[in-house]
Order: sequence, then structure tokens, then C-alpha cells
Amino acid sequence: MMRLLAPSWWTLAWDRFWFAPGSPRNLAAARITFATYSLWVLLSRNLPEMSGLPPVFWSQVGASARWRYLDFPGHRDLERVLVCITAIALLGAIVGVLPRFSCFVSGLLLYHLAPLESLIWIPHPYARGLTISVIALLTLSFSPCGDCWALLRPRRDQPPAQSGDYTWPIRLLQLYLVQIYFFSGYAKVMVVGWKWASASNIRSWMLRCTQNEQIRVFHALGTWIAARPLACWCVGIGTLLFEFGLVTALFSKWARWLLVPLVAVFHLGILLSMNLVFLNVPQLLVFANWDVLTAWFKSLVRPQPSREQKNALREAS
Amino acid sequence: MESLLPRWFCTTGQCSLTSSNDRTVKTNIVSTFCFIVFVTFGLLVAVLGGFLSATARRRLTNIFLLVVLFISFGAGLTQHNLWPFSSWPVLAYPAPTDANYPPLPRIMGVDVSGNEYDIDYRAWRPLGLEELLSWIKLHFARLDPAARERVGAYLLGRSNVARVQALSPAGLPYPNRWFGPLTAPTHMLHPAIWSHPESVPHNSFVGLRVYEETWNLEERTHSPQKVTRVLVFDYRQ
Repeated sequence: MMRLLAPSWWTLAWDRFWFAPGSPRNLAAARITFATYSLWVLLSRNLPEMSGLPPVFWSQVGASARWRYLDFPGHRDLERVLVCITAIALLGAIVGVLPRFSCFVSGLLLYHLAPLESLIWIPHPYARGLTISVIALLTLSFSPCGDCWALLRPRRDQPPAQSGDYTWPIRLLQLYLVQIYFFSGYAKVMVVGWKWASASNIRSWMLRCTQNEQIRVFHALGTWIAARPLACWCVGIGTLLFEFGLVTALFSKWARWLLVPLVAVFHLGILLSMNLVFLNVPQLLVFANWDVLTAWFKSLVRPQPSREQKNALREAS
Repeated sequence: MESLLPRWFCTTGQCSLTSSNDRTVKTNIVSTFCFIVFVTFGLLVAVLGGFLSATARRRLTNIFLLVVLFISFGAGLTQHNLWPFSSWPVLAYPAPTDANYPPLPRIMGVDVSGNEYDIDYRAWRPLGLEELLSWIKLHFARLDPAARERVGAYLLGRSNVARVQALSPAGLPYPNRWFGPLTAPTHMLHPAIWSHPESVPHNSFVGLRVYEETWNLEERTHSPQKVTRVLVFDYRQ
């Protein structure tokens, strides 16, 4: 207990968390993952066309919101060019051509482009798929993310095999993702209170999402849960436990193994019961150990030597 | 998701329209400042870090990390959405019962015979359906009649173009033709009601109607058709 009060313990814990020696592969994998995901979402939207909407749709957008993102109506062609530049930068980040610069350019441009999706009525486009991408790509650009798996590596001759410089960006990216769940749980408790998890509340959400014909694609699971108070209690309590508990994935390997795959199951359940999509799931690959995955993949690809070859090698040695 | 939520949602308390606007301006300014601080400190780490000793570089990185922690936890713990540092208030609202729930807009196409039809959500592209409905819910009532007519004309044009596309052999196109069905969906799913030509209206729309729908959750579990509709806008070509 006393050691928790000692500043040196906190300094050591801080350093251990952010600067433990890490592999450049994990950082490179994060770069490829976030860039690929962002490219997928970017090309799935018609963001430039939003700038070309009739001016009446933009009439209620305040000056502060427009200047915040430098988003103005009537510049569809310019926005198209910017989308092209962003896509090229994201491709550069994926294959590793000027990876840090590519991440920086794409992160900045996504900060400008992503709000176009909802700016006509709300200035913060969270939950639309590109929120984490903006800060993640910029964070990657501030780190040596091009030291591995890059077509054109920076001039540095031989990057170190393990370094703390490869760890803090990964930790930040993991933190951004965990914060989604933690703040989501925190907001529920702060705004609604612990009764958010009550059966009646969950039942109302399930019914609202399955009765609304404009979003009703799946309805069997939602109505099944709504009809069972015990299932509603389980969903409510389970959701809060999960959202607060995911923080442990930052500190514990076992929690990572257990909880991170559960995130995908969690979102599948939300999709099937409430018709709400959470696109960020692929970004959870940032929790994987890519050294282990690479070694495993190589062992699969590399042909095992036959018994005769092994004998020959043994005799030769 | 916000289109499912009360009209003036405010995670830190009850908000009036004026205070909501003031809050939005302040939030826009603070968010911009936080983003600039984030980028500036990040650039310092990236650019200056190369010229510094290992100790100095570590110190600079620590400052950057503290800045990021301060901004991101500041946004989350105070529940002020400083996008891209979001407060993530996902479903963090009281249960949407009929007592606290605002009406949901619904747009219907009207043909020359006066028949009404639902319109596929893909007709409104580039607008997502949830963005369009939220915009209607928040801003449409405040527009003057001429502006409303312009909105009606635009939406009618979009719905007729989509109707023709849906009737063609190729059907309604995906936003990205290379991705096809692998195109990233929007945050809320919507049924693709014009996926088959037989479900697409064959006559052109000559008008649009916007209704506001309300229903009682419990009543509708027994009787799905029990919905109250109020006509709020009727546009004729």
C-alpha cells in the first residue's frame, strides 16, 4: 500500500505502460489497419456531394461550425479533389510510401471531410466511423510507424528491434478505442443513472429500435429480449460491466484475450437486436501481437522439412 | 442514433434552444483549440524529437501524452463532445418511452392518383436517412415557406431519380460501385425496400408528404399498425 503512494512507483508504472520495449511490427500493423479501414469508410460515403447540397440544407449551420472544419457549401469539386488526395495518402500509408507524411495528410483531411456527413444538423460526427481514424492517423504520423512493412522506409539505416518509441503510439490507439466503451458507460450512468441497466429501460430501447419501421432490418432478437425481463436485466448489467471492464484490456494480457474478441460479439448482438452498426470493430486488431501472428503465419507458409531432409541436415552437422 | 433521441438532447442537463446554440459555439471554439493543441504537440514530438537526446525526447513525448490524456478524458468525463475527441454518449439517454419521445418524421411519395408510398433510404443520397430526418426534425419547422418549397422540390427530384434507377435492371446503385455490397453501412441500418422492381412504385411521384409519427411502445407490441401520424408538410409539384 505504501509503495502506491511513492512517486517513484507511479513513474515506473507510467514508463512501464507507455515505454516498455515494443515491436515495430505492431506499429506498422496499426498503420495498415487504420489506413485500410479509413479508406473503406471514406470511399463508402459521398462526402463531396454533401457540399453540393442546395444551400437551404446548409442554412442552419453556424459560422463557428463551418470554420471549425473549414467546411463550406458549394465546393463539391474541391471536396472531390480532397477526397482523392486523402485516398492516395491512405494508400501511401497502407503500402508504406512516405508513411508518416501520408498518415498526417490523411488524418488532417479526414478531420475536414468526416463532419460533412452530418454537419447540416450536428457538428460532431461521432459513431459514423471516422472519429477514431482522425486521431489515430495523426498519432501514427507522430510516431516511427514506417520502420517496418513499408515500401519506402525512412532514411534510418536499421531500426531497433524493440523500443519504447514503438509502444506509446500503440498504447494511445488502444486507449482511444477503450475510451469509446468507458465513456459510453460513464455517460449512461451520469445522465440516466444506474437505472439505465434496468429491465424496463432496456425493454424500451429494444422496442423502440425494432418497432421503428425505418430502421427495422432485424427484429427477432430485439423483440425476444424485450419480452423477457431477465434477458433485459442481463443485457443492461452486462453492457455496463462490459463497457467499464474493457479498460482492463489496457493492462492485462488475459483481459485482452477474453474481452477484445467479445467486443465483436457485443456489436453483433447490438446489430441484430437494435439495428445499430458500429464500424470500428476492425480497429481492434491494434490489440493483437503481430510478432506472434507473423511467426505463426510464417510457420504455416514455410514448408516443413521432410524426415529425409532432417536426417541429411543432422548428418551434415 | 441521435434521430432516435429527444429533440434537444443535452447530456449535461436540460437545454433550451438559445443556450443550446451558445453551447454549440463555445464547444466549436474549444474543440478547435484542443485539436490544434493536439496536432501542435504531436508535431513537436515528431519533428523536434529527432534532434533531441533520448531523455529530452522522452520528456517531450510525456508532455504530448499528458496533453492527449487531458483532452480526451476532459471530453469524456465532462461529457462535452470535443470531436474528434468524443464524449461517446451512446444511448446515454432516458428510455425513449412515449412520454418523453419526440415524433419521428417519415417521408412519403405521392403519385398522381394520390397514393402514398414509402421511399427507399438510398434515394436521399448523399444524405443519410438518419441525417435527413434529424435535420427535418431540428430545422425544417424554422424554415420560411419558400425554403420549404425548395427542400420539397429537391427531395421530390431525388426520389423520382431513385425510383427510375430502382426500376432499371441495375437497380439502385451502391455509393461505391467497386465495393458493392461491401460498402460500409451507415450507423443505423435501414431496410432496402426498393431492392426488387415489383416493390417499386411504377408511377412518378408528383408530391411529397412529411408526417410525424408517434406510437405507444406497449400498444404497438400488440398491434403493430397502431401509429399516430400528423401531416406536417405537403409538397405538390
